[in-house]
Amino acid sequence: MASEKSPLLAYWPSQYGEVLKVQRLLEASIDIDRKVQAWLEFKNLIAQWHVERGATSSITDMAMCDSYLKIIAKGPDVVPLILAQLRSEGDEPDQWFWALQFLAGVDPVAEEDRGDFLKMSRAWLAWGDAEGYGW
Amino acid sequence: MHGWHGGTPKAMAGSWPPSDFPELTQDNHAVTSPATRRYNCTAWAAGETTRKWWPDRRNIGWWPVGVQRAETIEAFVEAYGTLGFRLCFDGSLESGVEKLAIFGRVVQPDKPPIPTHAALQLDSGQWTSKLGDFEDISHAPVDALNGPVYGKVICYLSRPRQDATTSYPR
Repeated sequence: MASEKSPLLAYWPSQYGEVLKVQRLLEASIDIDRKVQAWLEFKNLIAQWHVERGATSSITDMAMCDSYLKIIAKGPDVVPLILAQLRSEGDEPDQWFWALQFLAGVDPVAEEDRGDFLKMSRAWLAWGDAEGYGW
Repeated sequence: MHGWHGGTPKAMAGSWPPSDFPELTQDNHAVTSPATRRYNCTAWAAGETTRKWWPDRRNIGWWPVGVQRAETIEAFVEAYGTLGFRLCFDGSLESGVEKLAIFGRVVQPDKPPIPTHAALQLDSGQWTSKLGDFEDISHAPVDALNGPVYGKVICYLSRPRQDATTSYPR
């Protein structure tokens, strides 16, 4: 029910069809705003992560950065964002595998592909496609 | 294999945070490759450019089979031991000998240093290092990378210098 989503509708009798249509549009735009907001927050944390990790070579240190942990703390909802980011990174995938393992509870990477971030990225993107993740 | 063995480096500026390497100056290093995330220092020192070596607990980095998967200096020595490197006295240039330096940083005062970096000595006497996800550089001295991120050299390893066409064991 639209009225459950928005208390504002409670003030309007349901026979005002125009108002209901406007409200549905508003709800759709709010939903888009939430996605954009989540994406912007995610991108901001990535930028912070790049600064925070500096020139470390340690996969562990990269994953222990506050900004990376904040991404993980967003929970499973962030998985589609990570996969979209991973896809956008193409042949230079970043170290998203720690977060994906933690959040998805699986690891689709073949043992012989450990450390090869390009192959690991492909394995995770294939997993995401199979699981129906999209953003 | 390394694509660069001590020839004339390209005139490029590095993109790493200068504060990570306070002892790195224009006079003691040269950038020798573009930045990439495809490999890290540990792999680079082992002659690999398509995967990252690291013994993280989530099994993300590649690590030699049969070597303890632990972020300790001992595990790093053991890992490079699979390529024929053995502990040696120092990082001086010796004819026919290839040397490798393992860096470490003390995180807790009462604990041993944790490994942070590996650098390989070139036959010119310079050292080659991959700086995290940034560029490869040549540098001299080896401890030009001392600082808050890599700490300092903890130990040196050596082996007979390999022919440039020799493939490393995987």
